[in-house]
Amino acid sequence: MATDKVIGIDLGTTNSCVAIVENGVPTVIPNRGGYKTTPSMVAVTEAGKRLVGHIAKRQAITNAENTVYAAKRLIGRKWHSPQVRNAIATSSYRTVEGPHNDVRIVLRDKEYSVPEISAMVLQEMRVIAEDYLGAPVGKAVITVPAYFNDNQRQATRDAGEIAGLDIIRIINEPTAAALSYGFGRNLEKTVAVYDFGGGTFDISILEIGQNGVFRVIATAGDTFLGGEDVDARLIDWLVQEFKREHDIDLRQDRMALQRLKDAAEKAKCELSSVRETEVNLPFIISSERNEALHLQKPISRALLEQLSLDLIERTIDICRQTLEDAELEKRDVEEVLLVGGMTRMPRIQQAVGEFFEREPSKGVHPDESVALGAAIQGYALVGEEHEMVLLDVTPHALGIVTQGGYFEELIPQNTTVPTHRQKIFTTSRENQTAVKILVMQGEHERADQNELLGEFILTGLRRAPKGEVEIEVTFEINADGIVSVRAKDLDTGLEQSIQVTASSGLTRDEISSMMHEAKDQLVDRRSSEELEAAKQEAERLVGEIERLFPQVEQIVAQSDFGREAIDKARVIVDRAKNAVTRKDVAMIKEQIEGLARTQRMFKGVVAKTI
Amino acid sequence: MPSIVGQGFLNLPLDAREGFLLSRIDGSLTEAALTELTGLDHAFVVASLDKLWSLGLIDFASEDDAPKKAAPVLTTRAAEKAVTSFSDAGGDLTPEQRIWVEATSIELTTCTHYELLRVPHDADKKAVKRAYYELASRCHPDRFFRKDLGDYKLRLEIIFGRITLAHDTLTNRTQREDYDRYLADRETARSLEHALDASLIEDEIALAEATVVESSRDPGAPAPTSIKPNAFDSREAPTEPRFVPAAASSQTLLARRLLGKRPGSIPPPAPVEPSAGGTEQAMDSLKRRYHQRTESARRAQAAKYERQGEEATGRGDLVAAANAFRIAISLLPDDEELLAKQGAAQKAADAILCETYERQANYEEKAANFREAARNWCRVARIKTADAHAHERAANALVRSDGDLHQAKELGMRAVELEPQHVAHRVTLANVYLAAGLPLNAKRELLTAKQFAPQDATVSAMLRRIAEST
Repeated sequence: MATDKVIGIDLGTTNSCVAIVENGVPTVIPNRGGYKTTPSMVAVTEAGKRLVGHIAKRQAITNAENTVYAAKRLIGRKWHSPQVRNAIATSSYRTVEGPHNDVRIVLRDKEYSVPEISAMVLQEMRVIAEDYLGAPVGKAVITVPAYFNDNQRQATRDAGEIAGLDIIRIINEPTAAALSYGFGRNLEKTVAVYDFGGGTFDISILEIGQNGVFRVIATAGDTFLGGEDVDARLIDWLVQEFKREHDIDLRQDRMALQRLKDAAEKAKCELSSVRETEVNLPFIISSERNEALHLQKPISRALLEQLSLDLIERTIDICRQTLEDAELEKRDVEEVLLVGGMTRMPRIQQAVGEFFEREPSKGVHPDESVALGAAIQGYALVGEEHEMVLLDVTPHALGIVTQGGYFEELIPQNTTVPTHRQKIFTTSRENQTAVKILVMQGEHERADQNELLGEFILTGLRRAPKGEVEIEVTFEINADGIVSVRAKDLDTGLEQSIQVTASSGLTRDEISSMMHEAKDQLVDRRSSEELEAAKQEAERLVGEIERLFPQVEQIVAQSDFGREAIDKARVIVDRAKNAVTRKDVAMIKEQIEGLARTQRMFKGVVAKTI
Repeated sequence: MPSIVGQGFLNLPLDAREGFLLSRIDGSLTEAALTELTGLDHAFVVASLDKLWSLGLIDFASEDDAPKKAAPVLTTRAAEKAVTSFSDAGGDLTPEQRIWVEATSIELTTCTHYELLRVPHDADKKAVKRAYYELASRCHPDRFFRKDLGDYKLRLEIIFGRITLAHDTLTNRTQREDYDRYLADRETARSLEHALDASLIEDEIALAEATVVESSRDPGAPAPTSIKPNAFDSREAPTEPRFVPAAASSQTLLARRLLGKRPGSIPPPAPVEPSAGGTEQAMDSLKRRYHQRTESARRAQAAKYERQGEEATGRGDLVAAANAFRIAISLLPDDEELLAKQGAAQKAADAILCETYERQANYEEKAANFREAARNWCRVARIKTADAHAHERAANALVRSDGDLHQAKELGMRAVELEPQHVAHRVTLANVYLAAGLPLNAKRELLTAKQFAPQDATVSAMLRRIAEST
């Protein structure tokens, strides 16, 4: 029986988190290890086994080439984009170009699309929720960085679908954090959400009003600015230091690089609470003379701050710009919320406080509030109570390409959705009979600097001198964020339209086959869990029985009746052992009852005689 | 009375007189006939018919399937429309929600941003936001997530778009200033129209006459100070005088009773005072004295209004000045000096009115509200009869808003007549012809235009288009 409950998933660059609203109370669901966040890591073992989360992270060093981290940095991006080039240069896993200019990740000779990798993480989060609720979960709200473009959003949606989830809405991470902050508190406040996560930076300014209305005023960010970049600075420094001392480039060794990565992240986290720590990586590499070299370096908080100062500055610049876009003064912001692991860094808290001239709020949990907000939005959408309405904006401007490769904006950045806008364009060449409408997203005046969302051609135009045929272009964004574009020849009334299904880099067929595969994997995994449980139970009982055998044999040696019982017990134990070797769940389960009876009997015999 | 009572109808933003007008529409009465029948002001009837049409309550019947705006005959497509639309598929909406959507959808066509959000004009940002949030929480599409809304979905989205526009305009300082200026212009125009309304002057004239009669009948009694202190101060005009005829003041009623006739007429001869031993001579002298008294009272009254007019001119209230002079003239119709003064004041008042119309029209053009822009450009053209630009803009707006093409043609022709060498006017006129399906006329206009500007690309392009299509 599927519950109608909607889970909220914060699909993070480094960690993910899942939450649900239970009896009106938003709650984070811990994983089986008791942790509230799960590493967004996926690995495939030598035996072809898929690992997700903590277990994938633990084996990352020994299996670096087959462990994927920070897949979010690649999702919905083109193979040739500078961001992908950049990310690939520092990754320990192998990537190739996919059939649709997308990125594919190679794990044990099998190619996976990025949404497929993210789907594995989402599936893990789903299982965590299902285990907790004791019922299947079908619907989810997933969060993405506010500054994600439509292609990245669509790819995330596809990942959800591959994971077998009905993604009822994609919402922005800072918005979600604000929801968890303001939900059910009946506030009237303007808040800024500074969200510095593992891979992305976002700033959103929202207004929380009466009737549970949350209105986003402005949002901006950088989808390639996060904790990973701070780690990278630290790694660079360590690599340089090591090179200076030993003249060896640790980057050439994937395993060393992975160890460095882990150590840098750990050191960064530690430096949030202590002023000095040490990176200690013994036997990091062998020298030419085959002697073991160790990396041992003390790192101070001041050094880390110095290394990441320009990154912090960049976030503050974006804050300044956003405030301007929102036509607000610093003093209009009545609360500043810090979200994302990076905001634990004291220097960041200080910088944000200084910029907004107010102490940031401690009211939200930096790792959990985004998932909580996603769960709240899901609850509000499907529930009947309607305690909350979110008025969101478009993070990027939408428009089309005009003569000369210019970007002509139709819907400006930070427009409240749903919305629609129209503009009239004319032909640019003599006797032009067709016009290609290229739908773009971005803020650059040059079209090629922006993201192409889709295209279509309006044909059958009247032959006429340039500038004469008028074409009316209408853009529409609905509440789900789906963009539709319509072009109409005002002369003939001919019309052409598309629903811009941003390209995630996957076709429908690919998605559905990936979905089935993911489902099969889930069944596999579920039955193996069952086997594991039965096996353990059977082995425990067998162990106990075998431990009691000598005693029981001794006691019942005199009677014929006793011999028979012992023979019977031997048969049962043998059968159980056989079933365990054959990994036959049904057979093991069958034997468990007999084993339990035998174990009780043995215990009884021993107890009576003592 | 057509049966137009239904829930949907009851939610319409109509007042009693508009309702009365609606009830008289039977499909055969023309605009003029309706004006006569209802006794309502003609301008009011025209405005109300427009409003009823925009509400979808009436349509303009056509004799030969010409565009509906061309024929002045009315028919009731009537309120059944609003009522029957209730039975449309509304999916999972409750009846209350449907009524709200219906009523609000209708409101959108006529109301201001302030009226839509139900906030006063001086509402601060916070109040505007609160009102917006209240409405947004009712009609944001997420409130009806994955519900079957039928054809209400689109309507809800339109409502949400409009309230968002209202919020965005009113919470942005410059946009709100622009919008307020536009509304102020609209208000000023209405007040001016109201102040210049002939029927209002009629009442005041009657009052003046009555005062004359009063004072001539009883020389001992002081002239009644019957004029409301601010009756002529157009700046003090009521805020919503739109279609409200001059409220008959008690003084006016008194004047009517005294005069026993429609106002503005000549006072009846004074009743003859029966005197027991009265002689002809006595009667004559009585009459003479009476006339003298009347004459001097009349002059006194006229002088008073003239003074008022001059005062009004002095403080820049040209409407009040024009009105005061008009009243003075009604008392002394042959006074040329007065006539000149009145003419100057009237002209100045018209110029102000015209300016507000023009500003409104420009704002409306910018907001792509061509229907309203057409109306205001037409008003400008009516006042500035020699302004080619206004005529051309009016014709253009009419074409763009699918308005009255006949009127557009007249306006376009006038613009061409005023500035025959101006190519843009001829292009607009050609566009009117094309919209009306008269390519030969359009061609003629364009060919003439070509003589003045042989290089004009638009003219050549239009000519080619006409050649291709015929």
